[in-house]
Amino acid sequence: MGTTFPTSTQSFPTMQDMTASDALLVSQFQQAMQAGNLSLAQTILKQITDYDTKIISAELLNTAWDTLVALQKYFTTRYSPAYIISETQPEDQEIGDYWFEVVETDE
Amino acid sequence: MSKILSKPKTGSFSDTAVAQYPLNYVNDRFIVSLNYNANIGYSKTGLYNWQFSDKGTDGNKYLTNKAIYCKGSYIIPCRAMLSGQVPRQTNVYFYSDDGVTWVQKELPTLSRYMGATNGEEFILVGSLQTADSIVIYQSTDGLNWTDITSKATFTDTSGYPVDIVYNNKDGSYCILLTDAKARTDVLTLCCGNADGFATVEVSTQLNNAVTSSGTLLMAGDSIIYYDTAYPYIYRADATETFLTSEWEQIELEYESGAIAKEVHAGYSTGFLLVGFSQTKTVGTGSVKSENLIYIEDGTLTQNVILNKDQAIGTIQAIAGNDTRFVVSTDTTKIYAIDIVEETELAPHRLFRYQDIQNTDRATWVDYIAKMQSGDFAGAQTAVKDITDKQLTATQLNDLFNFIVEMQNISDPTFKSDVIKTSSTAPAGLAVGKMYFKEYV
Repeated sequence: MGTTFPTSTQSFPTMQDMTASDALLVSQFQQAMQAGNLSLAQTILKQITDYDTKIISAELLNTAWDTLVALQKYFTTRYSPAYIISETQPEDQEIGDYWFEVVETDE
Repeated sequence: MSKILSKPKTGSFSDTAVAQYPLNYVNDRFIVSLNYNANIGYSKTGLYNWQFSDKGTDGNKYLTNKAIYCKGSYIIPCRAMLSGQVPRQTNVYFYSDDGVTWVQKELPTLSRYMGATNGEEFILVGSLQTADSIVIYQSTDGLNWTDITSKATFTDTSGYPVDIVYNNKDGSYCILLTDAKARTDVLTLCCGNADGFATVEVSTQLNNAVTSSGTLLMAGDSIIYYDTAYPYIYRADATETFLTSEWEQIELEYESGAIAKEVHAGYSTGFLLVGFSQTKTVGTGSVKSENLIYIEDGTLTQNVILNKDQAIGTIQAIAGNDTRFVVSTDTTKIYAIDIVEETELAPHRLFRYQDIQNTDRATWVDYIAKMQSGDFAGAQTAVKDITDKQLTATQLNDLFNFIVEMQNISDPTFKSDVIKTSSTAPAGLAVGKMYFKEYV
């Protein structure tokens, strides 16, 4: 659970829609769920080809939302007002940023 | 769609290295040998999770060359002890069967060794520092060595190896040599294998650009030669018989009036990444910049100016990853450059959905009934007109791709010299850096 960002890029599976060939198993899965037989439902689910990319799990959504939150925090911090020390004026300054010019430094 | 170099992604190097070369990607890992403390490190990504082990067992530290891997064995040949030794040569090398734990081994003779492999054997070549005395050793296990020097024919001026590479296009090893330690700019190329080596002079073709820092690099159908002391880079056709192939200079675009040198290069499928530094006189002083360019099909495509912390060292591609290069530096920094598609973020309209309304109830019930009866096509038809109320794989994939795209907006140098504002000193504040103390 959680996200790997910003330490590394959080990847996601390529999701697939159900196909006609999955319909029978999907129907059986739903019937098992409605009957309260979760164990049977899980067994049927795993018989669907690439089932793990055809079902939306809580883990998948939580990872996506956690990544979105991490992205917001990351960019909020990164692009907050900056105080920059350098010999030449930065080209990427924004309104509200400060630049301290350093003079006569040794290479 | 054109490709560009990404902004550098800086990794973390846990050791307090002051020199972290040579870096090499072998088997499934990056291996770096630290000259200053004799440690060998490895990392699966090259950026993170570096782990180090002490390679010295005799109390001495050694200057090493690139790690080589062959059939379950890793070896690191050495040039000399780190210091306090004249002449500078050694018979020590390092061996590992897992790329993690290293043991010190010895070759039969003193020399300054470097090596290559064709995947079936190791070949080491070396020469004493003070004399033209080339030796070539062959081993299939990295432990037992056979002297095959007698298989090679050298010219009078081929006495000191600069680098060796295995040419997988014609099945030969190519050894670039100069005439002993004086290096009077006479270059020869010795090519062959355990069945025999032959030598030819190539000085004028390579513009006499050679020091002990010259490097040979396989790059697709080409063999690349560069020397960190010169602003040149050359290629020869590796598919031709190497001894007869003409070398040609690859034109690099330097800033007008700048002195360029410290060239390094790395190759991944279709791309040659070249790094170099430029020094330009400004007023009474000079400004040095580090630059990266990449070359695709012989065409310079982009010039990226790096900051001083990203001084270029070894450029190493990753096997199985066509678009990433890991670049070591002469400091404690290490970073990655990706070759990426040049795209602008398209406006995304994600998840503008509506709830199912009362007016949709009949359609919804019909859809469920058809799905439960196995009428998949009928179920799809039932909901085909309410696209803003259904979630499909396409929409999820659009969302996930967008999230990944946002994460990959790598901008590590933006405001990298930020002075933090904090009530207490920020952790890791380096000597010479400062922060604004926040009044609380």
